[in-house]
Amino acid sequence: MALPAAPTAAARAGAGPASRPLLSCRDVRKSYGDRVAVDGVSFDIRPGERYGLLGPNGAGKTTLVSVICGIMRAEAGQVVVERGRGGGPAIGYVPQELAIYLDLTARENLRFFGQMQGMGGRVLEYQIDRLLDVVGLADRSREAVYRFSAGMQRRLSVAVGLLGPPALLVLDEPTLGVDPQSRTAILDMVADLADAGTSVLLTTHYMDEVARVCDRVGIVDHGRMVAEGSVDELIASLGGGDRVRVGTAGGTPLAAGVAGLEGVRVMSMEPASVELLVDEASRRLPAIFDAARLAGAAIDSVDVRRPNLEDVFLTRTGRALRD
Amino acid sequence: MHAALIARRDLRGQLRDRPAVAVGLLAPIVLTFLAVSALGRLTSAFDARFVVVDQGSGVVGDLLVKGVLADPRARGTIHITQETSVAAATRAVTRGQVTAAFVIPADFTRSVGANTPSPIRLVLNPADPVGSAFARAVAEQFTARVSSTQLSTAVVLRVGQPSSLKPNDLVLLASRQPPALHVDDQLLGRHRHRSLAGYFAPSMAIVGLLVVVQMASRKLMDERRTGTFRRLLAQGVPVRQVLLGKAMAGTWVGMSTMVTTLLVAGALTGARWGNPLLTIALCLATVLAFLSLATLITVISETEEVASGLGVLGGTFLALVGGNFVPLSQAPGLLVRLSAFTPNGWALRGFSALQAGHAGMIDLLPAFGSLALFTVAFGAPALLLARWRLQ
Repeated sequence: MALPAAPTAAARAGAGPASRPLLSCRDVRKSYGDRVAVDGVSFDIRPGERYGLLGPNGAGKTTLVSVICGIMRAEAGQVVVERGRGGGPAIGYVPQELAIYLDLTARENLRFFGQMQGMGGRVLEYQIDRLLDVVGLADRSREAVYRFSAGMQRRLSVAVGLLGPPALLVLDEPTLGVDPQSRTAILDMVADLADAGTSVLLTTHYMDEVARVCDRVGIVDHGRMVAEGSVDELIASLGGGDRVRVGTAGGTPLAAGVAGLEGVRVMSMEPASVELLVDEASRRLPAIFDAARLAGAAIDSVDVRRPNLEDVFLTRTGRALRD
Repeated sequence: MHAALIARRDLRGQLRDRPAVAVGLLAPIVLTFLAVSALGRLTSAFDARFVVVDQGSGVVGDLLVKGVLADPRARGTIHITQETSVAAATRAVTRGQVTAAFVIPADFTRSVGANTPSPIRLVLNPADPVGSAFARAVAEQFTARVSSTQLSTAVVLRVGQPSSLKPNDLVLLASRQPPALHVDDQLLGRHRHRSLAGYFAPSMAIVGLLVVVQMASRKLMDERRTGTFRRLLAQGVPVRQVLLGKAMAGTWVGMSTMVTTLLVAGALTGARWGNPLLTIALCLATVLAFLSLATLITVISETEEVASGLGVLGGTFLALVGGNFVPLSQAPGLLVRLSAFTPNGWALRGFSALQAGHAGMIDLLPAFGSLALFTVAFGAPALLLARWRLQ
């Protein structure tokens, strides 16, 4: 059934049973002219869950989030957002951009966006004080935001998204353009919020962010959901084994040499290296070295690592996450 | 509710932006005084400085000096000084100290009576063509009057009416008669200089308005660029509330610019604006028209740079064509016709009508109607495009 994909009346109808998803997307589709940005995406987020949407730039994550947050309407599909307990908003949105007013103070920003949500009085002031504490800006709350560092501005942006508090915090690339230290601080903060019970939807193209914060991951590419599950489930779906990158001047002979070895699978081949998926690499490396010697391929380097979400993406789409 | 909060936030931000306050409130006032000072001499403070060399001209020569050049009606426009020698007068003209020299020959009165030509000699400054033409016109007007007197006298003598007067006395008597026809002109307003300030104050206020409404509407672009627009939409704030809030803030800023400029210019120059309610209504109509235009420019522009470029180009074009730098009363016909296609042209017509002191709502209907049309013509597409463009 094709329905307008904006948050429906259920979003304003109060909390449903505990087993019901907080957010439910069904076959959401959105295009810009001829270009399909979101192509029949479906997924659920349950209360207390931390869900990550992982995909490269241009995969359709922001469009999907825009539909979920009611910023734009989809052409087809259905989005249902349940309002959380306590009368707060269904969704707290933290856009990719800072989305705060640099000429206002931190406190004024929180007050303005709180009032836009219909909050006011002592309730709002209490929340402002609490959120300023949460994001570590209490001592700078009366300073104009343009004086803040990029990381502080980003933390304030997250704080604005937490006004309410919302049933679901939606963070669209929240670490975009911040230094590594601030990135760590923001991710720690999001993880703490999630630990405290806030449901989170995080979009990112950094797999380590998803691995660090999220319980469940949806991998998006070209507007489609190509894989979904917990991080462990997705990695296990590769069939187990280790990733072994063998640096060699003769990639083709090496690939041919190891092709017949038990528990060894060639994943990709580049001019100066071969990527292998190996069951128990520590046990099979000697056989790989022997095969290389017999094939006449001199080995320059060997890199052994556990598979990660990047490998899942590579396996499912045939290209790297950074492409 | 949402719109009021957005307007309040915008105004708070703009009040903290001191350069914006300076542009909005101080710049139009300074521009008004610069315009009055710079253009006042060209447009209202024309004065002709003549030097007279009277070589013993007699009664008819006195008529030229005292009856024409020193006529009370010409006071403030013609300033005369006397010189005893032609050489000194010529030097004064050459140095640009005076506009022209009138040299009245010694036998002027006698030659008029004898009907033998004895010309008034003019020494003119080629660097001052307007003043030269004015001097020539004054002299020709006087000689025409003398000629008509001579004609009258000749007619009397030819007809042969008995008279105890000698022909020369008859000429003098005829010369002293007031002209049968004269022009009675009336300058509207109490003081020409104040009238000029009265034109340039609203004119420069509109120039300031062109800038501040663009700054205000550019806030829409800021909202798009910084992501606050998306956040507001995600909070459930309708697009129309965001636009209304921006329009309220822009209107407030625009009205502040217009009203402050008129009040300050009025207090300092004595210019009067006419009916206060109609003046405020005209300010509001002007602000809304320009706000709509600025919003349209903002929503059709891809980037802030494009919006700024279009704003500067459009503002300069409107200011030039609409009559902000040249009073429409003194503008060429083409410019006057073109100004009818600009909101500022109609606003300035409205302010001029108000200053005449007796304009009512009926007189201002063309100005109000035109400004309302501009508001709709610019505002409607801006509203239609806003949601699509701002996302």
